[in-house]
Amino acid sequence: MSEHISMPTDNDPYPTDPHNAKNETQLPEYTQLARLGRTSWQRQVAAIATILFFWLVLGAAAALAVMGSRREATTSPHPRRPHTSRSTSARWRC
Amino acid sequence: MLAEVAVAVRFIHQRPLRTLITPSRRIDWRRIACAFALMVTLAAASSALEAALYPGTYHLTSQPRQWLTMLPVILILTTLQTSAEELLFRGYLLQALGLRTRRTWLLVGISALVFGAMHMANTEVGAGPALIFTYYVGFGAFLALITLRDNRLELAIGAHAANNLFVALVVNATTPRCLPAPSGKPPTSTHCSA
Repeated sequence: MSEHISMPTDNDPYPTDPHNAKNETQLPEYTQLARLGRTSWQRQVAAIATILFFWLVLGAAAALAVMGSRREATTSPHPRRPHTSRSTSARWRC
Repeated sequence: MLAEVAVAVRFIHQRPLRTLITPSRRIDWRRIACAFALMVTLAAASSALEAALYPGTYHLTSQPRQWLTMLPVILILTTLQTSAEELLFRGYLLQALGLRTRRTWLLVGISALVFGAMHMANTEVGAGPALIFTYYVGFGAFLALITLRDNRLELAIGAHAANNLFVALVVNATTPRCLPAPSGKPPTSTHCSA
């Protein structure tokens, strides 16, 4: 896999292999594609922080919102489901 | 998850989102379709074989009305979910690790372990954490390997989508929080939605 490494650069992301008789474009190695962008450690930390923020904070907020709406549906004083008991709605009022 | 990867790659690393999927100029949709078809065939064949060898393992839990109601939701959300996971674990993570090392076993191992760890909150894990963690790590390693061997992500996207859609729509574990599928299995099933 690594014997066909062709390193992409900002100027030439699809470098041509000079040893290729047909002069076909040699694709860069998949794991090296990050080099097409900016890869300073500050950007990597920012990217990881962004991913974790979206995932854990916004994801947890969305999950809590769904759980809250479910709880509200089951304990509402005017439930949509006819089998919700009266004692449940009494707890809601307290 | 798609949004977080898109923001990180497009605005922080300042490179096209397409570079998470392929080094060529276009996404190869035929590869995605081929991997999808092959994975569905393999999953169906293994389930059929298991059902034939161990009668009673599967039972029909058909609820057509509920199934049809959920079908469009499952098709859209599962496809988005699996694509997002591929972009994050096999796309972003593999390429970020690729800046540090080129050792295939290390790239595959780390991405698979992270993939497995991130699935430990799933409901089916309670049925057998060690077995299911092993399954997730194995599945993650398989997807990472085909990504590295093919030098692009399309096969992993197709295979992952096929696995999860098969689990969601055809064969599922009979845990309380699972959506109804036409056929159910006990929670110790090897078919888990990764």
